[in-house]
Amino acid sequence: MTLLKLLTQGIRYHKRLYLGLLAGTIIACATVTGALAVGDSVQQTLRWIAEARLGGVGHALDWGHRYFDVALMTAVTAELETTEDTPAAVFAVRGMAEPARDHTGAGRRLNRAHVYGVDSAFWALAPEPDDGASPKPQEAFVNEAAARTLGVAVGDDIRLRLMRPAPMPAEAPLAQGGDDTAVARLRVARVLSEAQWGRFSMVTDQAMPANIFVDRHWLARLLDMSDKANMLLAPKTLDGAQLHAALRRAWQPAHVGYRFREHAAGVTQLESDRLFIEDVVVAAAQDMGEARPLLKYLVNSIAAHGKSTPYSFVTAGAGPADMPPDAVAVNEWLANALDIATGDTLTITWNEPLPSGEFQERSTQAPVHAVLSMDALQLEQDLALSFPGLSDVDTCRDWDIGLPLDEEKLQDEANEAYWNEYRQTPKLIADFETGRDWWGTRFGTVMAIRFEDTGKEDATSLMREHLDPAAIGLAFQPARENALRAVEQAMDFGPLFMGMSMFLIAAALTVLALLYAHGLQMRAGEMGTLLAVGWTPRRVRAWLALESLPVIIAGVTAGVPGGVGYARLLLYGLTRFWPDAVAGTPIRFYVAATTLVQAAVIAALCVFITILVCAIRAGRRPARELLQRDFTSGMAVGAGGGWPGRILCMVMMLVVGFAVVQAVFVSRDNPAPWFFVSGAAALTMLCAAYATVLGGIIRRETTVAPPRLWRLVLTQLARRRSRSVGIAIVTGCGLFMVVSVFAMQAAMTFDPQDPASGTGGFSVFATTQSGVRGDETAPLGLSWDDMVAMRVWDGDDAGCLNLNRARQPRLYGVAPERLIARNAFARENEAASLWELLSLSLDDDVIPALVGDTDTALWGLQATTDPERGDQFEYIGDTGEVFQVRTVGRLPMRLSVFQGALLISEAHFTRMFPYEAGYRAFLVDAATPDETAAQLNEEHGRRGMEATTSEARLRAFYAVERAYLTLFLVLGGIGMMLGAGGAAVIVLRNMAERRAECALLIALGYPPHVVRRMALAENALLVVAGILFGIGAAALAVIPLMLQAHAAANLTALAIICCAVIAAYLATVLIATRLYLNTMPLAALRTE
Amino acid sequence: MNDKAPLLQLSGVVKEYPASPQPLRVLRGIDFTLNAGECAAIWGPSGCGKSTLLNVMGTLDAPEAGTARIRGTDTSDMDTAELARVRNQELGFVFQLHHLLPQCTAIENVVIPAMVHEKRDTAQERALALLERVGLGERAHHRPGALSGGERQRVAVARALINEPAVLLADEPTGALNEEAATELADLLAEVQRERAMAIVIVTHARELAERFAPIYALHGGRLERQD
Repeated sequence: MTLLKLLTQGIRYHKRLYLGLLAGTIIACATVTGALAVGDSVQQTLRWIAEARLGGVGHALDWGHRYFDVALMTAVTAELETTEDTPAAVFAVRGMAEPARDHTGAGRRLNRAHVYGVDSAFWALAPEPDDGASPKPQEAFVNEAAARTLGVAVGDDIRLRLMRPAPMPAEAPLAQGGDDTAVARLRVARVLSEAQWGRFSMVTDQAMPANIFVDRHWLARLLDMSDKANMLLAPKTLDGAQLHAALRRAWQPAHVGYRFREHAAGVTQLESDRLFIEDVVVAAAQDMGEARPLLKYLVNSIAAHGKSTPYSFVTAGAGPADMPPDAVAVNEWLANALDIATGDTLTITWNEPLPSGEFQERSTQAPVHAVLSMDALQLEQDLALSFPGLSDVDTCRDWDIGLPLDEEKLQDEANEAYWNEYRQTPKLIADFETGRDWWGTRFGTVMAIRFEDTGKEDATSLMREHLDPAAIGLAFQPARENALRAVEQAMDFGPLFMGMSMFLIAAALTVLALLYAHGLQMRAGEMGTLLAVGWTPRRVRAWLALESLPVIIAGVTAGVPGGVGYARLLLYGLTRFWPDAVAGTPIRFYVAATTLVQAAVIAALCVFITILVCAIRAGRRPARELLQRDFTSGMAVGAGGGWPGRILCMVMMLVVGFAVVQAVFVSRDNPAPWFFVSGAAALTMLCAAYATVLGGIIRRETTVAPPRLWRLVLTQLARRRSRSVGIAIVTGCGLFMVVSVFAMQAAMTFDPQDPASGTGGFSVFATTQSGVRGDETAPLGLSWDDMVAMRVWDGDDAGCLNLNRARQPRLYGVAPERLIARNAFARENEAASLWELLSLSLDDDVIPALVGDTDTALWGLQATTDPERGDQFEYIGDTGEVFQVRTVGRLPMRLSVFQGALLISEAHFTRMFPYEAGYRAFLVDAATPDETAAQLNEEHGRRGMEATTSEARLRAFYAVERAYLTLFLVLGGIGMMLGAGGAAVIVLRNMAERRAECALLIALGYPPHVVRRMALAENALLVVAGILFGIGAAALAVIPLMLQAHAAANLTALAIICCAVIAAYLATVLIATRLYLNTMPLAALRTE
Repeated sequence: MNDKAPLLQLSGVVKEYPASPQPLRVLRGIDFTLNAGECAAIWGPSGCGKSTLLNVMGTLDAPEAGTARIRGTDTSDMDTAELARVRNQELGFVFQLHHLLPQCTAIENVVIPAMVHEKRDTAQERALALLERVGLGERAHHRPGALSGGERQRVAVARALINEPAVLLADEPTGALNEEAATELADLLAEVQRERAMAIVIVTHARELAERFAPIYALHGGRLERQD
């Protein structure tokens, strides 16, 4: 006789017990495996998507709105000394597309088209490079998403409307205004699949972009940006250090829009295609040697002695060396025109740009320090900067610059004569620091830098030496590494589905524990015998545990493949029924071997611990009780008169009180979780009270014994207290969960007119691809009073529609004062304290931000929101400057129209993103939201308008949560079915155990129907207790939510669900009881 | 353990069971001594506390007051492992109901106490010898379900003897048997007691059986009285 033999014989003999254990283990293991496999599948799908969108790209240089010369790519390639793995230059631009009018698909429109100008080097980096064919001029390769949206196929024509990239910030003073779009007609030459790199994107998002690929040279010419690009893609075979070194060696100032102009006077001037010179470049220039920064401006007027001259060029930084601060020098022409001399005081008036894009007139007075002859200013005339729309026109009346100009004043004859003779020669010169204070803007403060006695060649090499191109954002970023990191940090669906399957797992384990504990009671004699013959209690426990081990191993072995099937079923459900839960991404099945092992270990541990707890509980009884199979004496004296239960009741009562206070007074914006906590605590309290009461019945049983049937029923419930409480817990939890989740779904309502809701009280939310300027009088045909306009930086979506972890969330630039005035997105009188957070002054120039809503903060970003301890996100501004954004707060509602984004003040936005011209997002007040949205879409299609009602936008976000809750409900429903089945099995076993007892009552003369009624009453009470507890706890969690959400009408549906659950449980248990009693003859007694 | 001390000694043993409104006192100061090789029969009517007394002797129950000593060692000073060792090495139990493991054969049931013993290698042979001794050599590989009540009880006796205990404690060993089987079992117990010079305590309500293992101690009203 060996231990092994003892164990195998035990399993064989008690096969019914172990079949239950096996079934429970299979279910638990399959559920855990399935949940983790879904997590693996989502993550692997994201990894596949990241691979598909990046192809063979390892590093990428993305210069955003700034464009470099393609010669940079050639130079970098030469430095890399490789002919095979060469970088590819890409011209990326936003655009809109629509089928050509003569096509049957007319009426469709693609508002967010990603247009890429590429060549054959780009296609060499594709995931599966083929013939390397690239679109020819007037041809387009579109990906499947774009083709589907446009309804086009190979051979069809499309019309492309592109945002014309501005070399200089479009809203900057002295920058050219005018038409900013270009239109072209193209023929679709290919529709690209994912493998053909149709998914190419540099944005961390699993959503399929709508891509249109065209010939790079053709696109650059179309947009007047010949030989330019804004993206360099490097193959993954090249490492970052190698690329950085090559870029450092290869770059020339001319590649990135800097040029040096030499003047015969021994002066070399540095200028930029982008109008302003970045601060880091100014600092580098000052390291190079003697450097004088200059700033040019066009002032509205210069006046003195009652005379004035309109629209005059002024310069800061080119005055006489001895000129004191706050004084100015004027040229001879101006002195004569205004009749002024040294010592007189001038009044200078100019327009200052505001963050909104509007201008505010400012003026100052300054003494005249010197009058300069026109000859002395020859250098200024010779080295005048080139302003498109100004330098290249003949008359003042033709000026087209980014400043409001008065047509009447432009016709000033004297000024026209000056323009004809002296062009941009400044009429007034100020000290640089003084001029910077007056005319410096958020777009920059330096337009040129002059070097004395340094030639063009020397200046170029000095600049290459002193300026790291990375300082202006010209650097290769590890695109692949970042993408894979975003995948690694993505929301883990494994724990999420584990959470959703928790009730299923708990039900399996509870039923398993009840069955196993019941089985152990049947084996009490065995345990008692072993203890009596000298086995230690520990040895007996080990024997029981070891006996169950092979069954557990068999269970997980069968459970793992079962889990794979379960995962496939869940993925099918996600694709077919709940696509919102995964943002519509088709998830492909994948599971790692380690995950299977992990799931098997978790399930085995859960089951083993359950078994061990049962074995320890059973083995704690004295051998005498076990041998006699008398389990009531211990209960009668045990547990110190039920004190642990009473203490648990009291603690849970406190938790209920605390949670209700939290829900009602503290977390009023999102009270659902607290109500849920209060309900769960109430359920625990009721179950603990039930256990205590049953214990009390047993104690009283020893003294009071009136022979009544109802008392017999109660005594039976109390005698198997663990079983009674266990079934109550399974039933109660199931009902509580179903009712609570249903109520949470019902409570997902909001009043779109309420300013405190996620719509902010605005009825329409609109976005455009091209910006609307702040100086337009009736933007989008609406009044400024009817809308709040916002600026947009297209970062990562940090909301529920992006499964990856957002690294740089989308930014909205908002004007806090406009939202405060409307009391938007906050409860009454709380708007000011909320929106003023955006104006906080933080250390180290950190920009304060509000998270778009509570869910984004909690799940999308998992960010702390606090002025001191808030999380920080790193961004790169339009000039290459790296800056931090800190989440100082969040909009208080769970979901808002700003889901997945951060909000910063417009002032900060325009400072960091000067190239993001105009407003691109609008909150609109409209009496007829649907009509207004439709009208906006129809009338402003050319702007890439996407308008929808705020309610519809918000409902789309709610749909994601609803999908999760439905999934939770379905999995919980399966758990409830399992619980009902388990309860039926336990009832059957209970009846089998007590058949002699029932038969005896019949033998003693009890009418069979009385005995049957007694058994039915006992078993019905088993589940009725749980049902009452579940309903009671759920009512606590649900009714306040329903009332708050005005969702009382749904109480009918809720009642139906409750009745269905109750009926299912009662029917299962009662049918099992009835069937057993019907087949129980008096012979049962004879066999005893 | 003191080899010169009495094998089993109870002094002023009191045992109560919880009940309402006050505990039920079953044993009210029992004094009892058993030396090696001696016999004793505890006799009394049903419900007088005989089994409780045997359980206290066999360390399956602890007294509320008084001491129970085995070879001079107070059982209340022993920890769980020590008590288990004593039950395994010094005591052998035969219950009214055989309490055999249903999944094990007769010989396996006999071996079970030896599985925690250092002599487990020879346990199989000793078990077979014991089964032959109790007349069940040919039924060694039958499960309890295939044995009669008397046979099961004889297997239980063999199981009690496997570790050569110093004392055999039998609780109504014939209570569930017919007269013939009861006589056979009583004969068997008497024979093995003589053969092994082993102490034996039999608890029974049957006067005839008690007389075969005299001296008889009558248990009445919670007190033990020797009847010579």
